[in-house]
Amino acid sequence: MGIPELIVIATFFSIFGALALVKRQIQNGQRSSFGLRSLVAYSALRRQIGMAVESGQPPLVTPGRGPLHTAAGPASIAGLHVLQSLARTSRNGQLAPQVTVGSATLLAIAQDSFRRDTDDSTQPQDYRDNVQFIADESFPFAYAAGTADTIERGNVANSIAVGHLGSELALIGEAASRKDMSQIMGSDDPLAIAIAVASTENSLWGEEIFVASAYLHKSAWNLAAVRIQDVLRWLVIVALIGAAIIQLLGQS
Amino acid sequence: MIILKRGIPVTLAVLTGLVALIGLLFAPPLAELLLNWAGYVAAAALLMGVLNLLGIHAKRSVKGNFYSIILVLSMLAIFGLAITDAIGQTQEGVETLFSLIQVPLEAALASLLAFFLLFASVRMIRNRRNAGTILFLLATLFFLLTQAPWSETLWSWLLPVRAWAESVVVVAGMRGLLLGIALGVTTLAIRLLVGIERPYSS
Repeated sequence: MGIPELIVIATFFSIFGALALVKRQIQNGQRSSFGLRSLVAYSALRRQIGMAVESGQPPLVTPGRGPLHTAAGPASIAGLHVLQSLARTSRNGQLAPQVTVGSATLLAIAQDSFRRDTDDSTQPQDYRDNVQFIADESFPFAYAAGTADTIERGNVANSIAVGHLGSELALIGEAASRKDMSQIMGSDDPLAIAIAVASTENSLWGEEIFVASAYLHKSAWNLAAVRIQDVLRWLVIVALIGAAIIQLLGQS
Repeated sequence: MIILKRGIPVTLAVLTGLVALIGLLFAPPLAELLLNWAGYVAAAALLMGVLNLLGIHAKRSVKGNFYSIILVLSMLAIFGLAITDAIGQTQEGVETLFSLIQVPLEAALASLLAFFLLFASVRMIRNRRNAGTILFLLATLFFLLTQAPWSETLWSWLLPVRAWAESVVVVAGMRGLLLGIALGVTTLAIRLLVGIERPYSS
């Protein structure tokens, strides 16, 4: 076993141990003042659910085009968290979200998470028709064109695009803007983030999409994960500054 | 029943994830085998996706949706062409149609990106007048002007500033974003590996 393997194993157990510790503290109420900083997009998400119910039109949700078995998988899972939250809350108003996916590996999970969160009396055919596979991940603009068509034609109240999305996000944003629709956009692609910032004020930047489950479900594990993520971020910052200072002193 | 419904998928997922991780560390061929299997499952999922697409648009075609009719007919035509290619009746028919239709369409949509971004920027300036918007506008104008073909003759003194901005400011921002994404992926991956996150199970 070499040093890189040891580092990976040590990192895995350290992070998991820290997660479990913080989760226990949250459950025991020792961190009663633990709070999440406000993210405009997640606050807007709750408002958009209300808007959808009032308008009588469902929201459009797209978790992107990242295949689950690739490096884009985690971003897609973050998008699926948003979908599950919307499906769960929309059930009360019986407004099932319209869903478009850009990867076939997302189709089954989107249908399943949507199905189990809708009212038990919903027929299976209903949820299957609401979830639509548009195009494979190799054809991002075809996927975006299909999603844009759903926005323009599909009588949806608002557009929520969170997941692995690239520059094709601009097409989706343009279609929603033409309908004067409220939007939420988030991606792990820096180019898509820039497009999201220009298109809407409800944008999620990179790591903010990975905390969707904490903001929407607020379980102890998810809140612990947010805290651990913050700690790791500070550790990285300290390491970078320390390395820069050491290099500076070494040069001088 | 609940144990079957919830326990088996979680156990399978956790075991597979841990085996893949151990394989990546100590036995790369094992990890490669699992990833190949994942590729086969993804291929089967693609078939499901195509059937989903066909089913939804077939229903819309029956209701008289013109674009759905076009889509269904196109899909069936491509399937037929693929079969004729396979049995030797035609040669590279699918590839030819792909290069004549799909590639130009994707290129056309990609070329529209600049205009969509322009419209999005104009809407942003109109609806959100704050410091961030002004900074966005100034940065966009700066990079557009210094990337233009005549920039070397008109404002060559700005080019070193652009080079510095690209190599320092832009790279620093991108690295910060990517580091944050890496940390988010790491914590999510660990939650998936130990079964805390279960997107596949109720």
